[in-house]
Amino acid sequence: MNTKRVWQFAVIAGLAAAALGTATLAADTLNSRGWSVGSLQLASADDRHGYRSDHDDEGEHGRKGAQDEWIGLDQVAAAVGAAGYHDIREVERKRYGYEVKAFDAAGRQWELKLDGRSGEVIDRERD
Amino acid sequence: MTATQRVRESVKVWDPLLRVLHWSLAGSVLVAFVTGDEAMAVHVWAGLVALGVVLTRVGWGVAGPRHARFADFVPTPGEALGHFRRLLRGEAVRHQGHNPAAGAMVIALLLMVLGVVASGLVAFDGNGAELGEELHEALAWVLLGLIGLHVAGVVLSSLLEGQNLPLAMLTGRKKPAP
Repeated sequence: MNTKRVWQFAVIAGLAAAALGTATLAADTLNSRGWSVGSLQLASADDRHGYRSDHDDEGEHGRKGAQDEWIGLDQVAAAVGAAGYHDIREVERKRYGYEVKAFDAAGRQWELKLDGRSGEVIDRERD
Repeated sequence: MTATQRVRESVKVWDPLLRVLHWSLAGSVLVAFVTGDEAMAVHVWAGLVALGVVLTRVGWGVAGPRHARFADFVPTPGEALGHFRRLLRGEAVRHQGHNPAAGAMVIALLLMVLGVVASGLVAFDGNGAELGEELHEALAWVLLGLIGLHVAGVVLSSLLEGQNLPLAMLTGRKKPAP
């Protein structure tokens, strides 16, 4: 009976830890999104409705401070063009910066990861 | 006289909050499955509702009434396996609350929902999104498998025990254990 209690305690503690960890992760993610229903859409959907203006009025919520230092979509397009890509299909906001889908000179589609501040292409992957 | 006897035949087992949590979790997981590839806002909200349900359930598992408490039904691996073997042999063992195999399933389902939600948050947030997405999908299929086992176990137990267990999760009443 005693070993059963110990076992139960371990299981419950593990479950509680997992629950608290996930809740913390959720709070973190939501916090960085400004806690609003609209902000829970993918950034690509945001883009269609005017990305910059949407997030300029986030007020004291979220990570406005950090995002203020990010380059704008026009500069993203310029940086992607300068790196030798064209025909941008999609731009998503990620934690590190922007994820851009575009084509290279040979016509292959890539998923590019851009640093949010410098616009530098930090990684790419075939799409 | 027959009326009172019929009343005595069922025992209040599942409290109202537990039942609401059970069906909210089932509903939110179903919505999340259906909206997996489209309607991201709905999908994310369904996941957050599921997380809220699991958090409440964990709290209720510590502070709730007798049959809601983890201490009442978290089995040792031996107990869970033993009950599982009896189930497969077709032996009916009626338990007032969760039977040992069901208790193990509760924990497995709660953990798996947490895993799916956590990986979904990672995928959603973008930091390590690719890994998060793949993990999210894989865990979602495991969760679907567990739900299948859960339903199969409930059906089998209902047949062996001669009572409608899904109905009991709606009404809160079960036939008394011997």
